Amino acid sequence: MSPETTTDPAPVLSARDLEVAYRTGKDTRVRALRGVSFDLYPDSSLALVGESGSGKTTLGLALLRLLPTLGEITGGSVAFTGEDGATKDVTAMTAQQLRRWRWSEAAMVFQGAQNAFNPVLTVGQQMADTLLDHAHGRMPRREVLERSAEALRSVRLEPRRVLGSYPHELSGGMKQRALIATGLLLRPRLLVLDEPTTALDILTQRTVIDLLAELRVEYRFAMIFISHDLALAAELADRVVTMYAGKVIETGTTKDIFTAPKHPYTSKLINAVPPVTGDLPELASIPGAPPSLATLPPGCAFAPRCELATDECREAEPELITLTQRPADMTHAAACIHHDQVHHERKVIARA
Amino acid sequence: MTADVSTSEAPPGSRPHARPRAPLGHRIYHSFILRRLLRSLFVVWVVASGVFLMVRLLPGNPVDVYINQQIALYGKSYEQAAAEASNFFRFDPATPIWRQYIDYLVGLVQGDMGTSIATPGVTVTEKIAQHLPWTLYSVGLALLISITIGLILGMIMAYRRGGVIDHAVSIIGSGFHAIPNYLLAILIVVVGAVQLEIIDYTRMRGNMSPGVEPEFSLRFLSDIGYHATLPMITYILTTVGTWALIMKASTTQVLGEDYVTVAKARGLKESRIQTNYVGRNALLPLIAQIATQAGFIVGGAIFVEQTFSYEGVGLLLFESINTRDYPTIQGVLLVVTVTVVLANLAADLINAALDPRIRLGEGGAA
Repeated sequence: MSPETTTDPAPVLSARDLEVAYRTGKDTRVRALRGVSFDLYPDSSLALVGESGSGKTTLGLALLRLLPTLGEITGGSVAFTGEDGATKDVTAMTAQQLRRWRWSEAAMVFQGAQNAFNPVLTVGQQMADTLLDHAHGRMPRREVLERSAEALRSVRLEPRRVLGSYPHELSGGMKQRALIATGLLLRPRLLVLDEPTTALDILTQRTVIDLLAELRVEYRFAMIFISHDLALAAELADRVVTMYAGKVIETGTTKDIFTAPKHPYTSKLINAVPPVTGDLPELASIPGAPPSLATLPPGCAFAPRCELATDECREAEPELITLTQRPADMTHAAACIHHDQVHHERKVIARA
Repeated sequence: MTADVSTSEAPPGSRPHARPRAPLGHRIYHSFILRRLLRSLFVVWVVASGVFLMVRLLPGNPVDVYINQQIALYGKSYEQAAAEASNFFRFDPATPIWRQYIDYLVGLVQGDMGTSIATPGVTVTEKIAQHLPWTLYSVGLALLISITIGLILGMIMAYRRGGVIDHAVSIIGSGFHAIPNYLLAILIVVVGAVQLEIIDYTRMRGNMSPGVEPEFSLRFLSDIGYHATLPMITYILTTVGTWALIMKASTTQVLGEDYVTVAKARGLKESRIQTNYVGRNALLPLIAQIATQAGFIVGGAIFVEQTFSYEGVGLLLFESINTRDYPTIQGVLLVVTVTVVLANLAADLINAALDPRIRLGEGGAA
């Protein structure tokens, strides 16, 4: 699903050297994001992958300035370019500007949709709240209903049933789809999805994934897809960004990343995931655990778990090295000085 | 055959496979409200019986107490006092307890709470009707103010955790919470009226100033407001901090819920998030507690009303215990019981109205 037209090369979202820290004590902080940069182009879709604690969710929240009270953006910028071509700095927006910008231009579907709806209001009321608060309270009742129904129909939910239902009356999959529908209400240019399928059973996951693929065509939004499920990322994303210990360690097109990863971590991550179809390969878990962000090693954060690590790795943290120079949104880069030694292969074990 | 006819004659729009209606007895048994009411009646009966027995376990009976008082106050001889007592009272302590109990229950069923022993000729219902409105007014209004202020403070504290208001209310609130209300009442009198002389206790005591008649006028209303000030301040100060702390805990929890973050992400107005998303959900677990507090409207007032000579139902209970006025004690405590039971019933209904996850269906999951 690569963009057919590249007449508008300006990225929808452009993060530069984004830094986020969480306060852990009176004067102590933990750096959760360490200089994250990436670009997201219109109509494209980007997958953020990595283990738990790698900073994926923090990045998603930071992009919409939704970090919890203890979290803070300590550096860098997030630039958002709207439909009109005007670029706004999200990190410099006032509370009022943020409120208007959120959801109308950038919506987010959260991890654990089970609690995403207010339990005491119907789904219809919550969709209406969203429409009304972005229309300065002036929208005829009929239009509110029509737009809510339209969004629900686009996610294959029956508006007559869902609009009057309370969240607890819907199944998990229905809630997730209702949340996606709510995200589409204002036709945003950007949709951030944080683990949208994690809490769902495998069949419902399939439905949601297919649905997202269709909705992207219909609604034409750029998508950031946060997931630890690489199979999903491979299916939905045009580009993949691998994160480790709060840093981007590899970025490339989906094809680059899955066929020829150049960071040992990405390679191991892929080998740790069983494919849905085909022969079962030997699954290799990555030895060790992700480092604590409070006590990062001086050099490459992955070095303690890496077979290729040398003294050089432990001395200085490697920068992203551009491996294949292509147009801006096609570059493949990895933050590993031994990238030429990474030979990705999947060993397939014969079925018994 | 008949069943076939009835389904084919069902009006259009009704569900084609509607469950056959259960037998009447079954439906009555499963009716939530009915079961709830029966249970409430049972509670009232148990408490009424318990109170009936326990007041009779108090040392001394009304006649003894009266005789002792006459001897102590007027130096009468025992024979003289006993003779006066037998003229004065229409109550015979020698009546078997089971007889008294049956009479009491029969009276209750007929809505008759009996006649006061200490003041012959006045029914308990009249006594309560005279005193209850004052207590309902002073304690009820104080609770309303206390809960409103407490809930608002609690929300502010939760939103600005670690701020000045949070720290101040936490310390002051839990301090006042630790002081029993009768002690605070005495403190107000001793410090405010006696030592600092900023409170005109002699004018402020009582329900209203002499010469003021109950009527719907500004003079009357401002006068009862003036006289209720001290008890109300006592009630408010001793409870407001507790409400603030409970509401803070509840709000803090709700603020961490996903749907609040999502509401923020949806770009909803802050005022809408605070009321419909945070406030409403934070309030839900508090409704039961508020209802229980309603029961203390009467119970908590006993010593405070005594300190301020406020002629409410608490003072009535205090005096009737002193004179062993069995029917009046029973009547007051019955009113307290009914208040608590009704408040709990109301809490259930309000909860069901505010929280769609609790619905009082016929034969519900309960």
